[in-house]
Amino acid sequence: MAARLFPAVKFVIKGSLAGAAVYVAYDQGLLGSGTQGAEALKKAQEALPPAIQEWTSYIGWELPPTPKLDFSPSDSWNKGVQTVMSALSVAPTRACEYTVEGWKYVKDLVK
Amino acid sequence: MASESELGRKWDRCLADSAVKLGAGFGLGIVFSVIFFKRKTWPIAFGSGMGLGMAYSNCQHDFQSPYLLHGKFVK
Repeated sequence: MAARLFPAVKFVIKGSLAGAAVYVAYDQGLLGSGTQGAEALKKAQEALPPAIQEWTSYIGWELPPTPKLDFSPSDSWNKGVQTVMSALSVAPTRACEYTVEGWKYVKDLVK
Repeated sequence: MASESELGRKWDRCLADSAVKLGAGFGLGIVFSVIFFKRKTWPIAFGSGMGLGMAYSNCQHDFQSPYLLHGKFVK
């Protein structure tokens, strides 16, 4: 009877573990709307440095202080897009000017 | 609360949500792979794909929300 009971018990334990994992994910708002997900990410980012600090002091490792990233990828991307678009918008006018100048230069050379 | 920065905020929310959902799907895929599927790889890929799909759907709904019309079906 124990031989028949054991697989059932194993299945129930596995099912409860998997169900608990899914429930924790649902409860933390990981499976909800976009705003919930963004909030969960912010919470995780705020909770990460103290947690790492606690872990390293518990294990006894000496981690060097994390370098401060002063670089903002979204700002750089936006600046890049603006630069490209403004360059594209003045490109025809500049091309005309350079052509006229080049033509004048060649004419002066030929004279 | 400038209205022209609303699009930027929506994109930020979309990217954050994609990261969260990808991570959650990946994690749940690992859990299911270890518990039920004898450590095969496909549940992990399935979970990550499902997370990305949920994030895409959320982003789509977020971007379309000013234009969605709510109507009632009058019989």
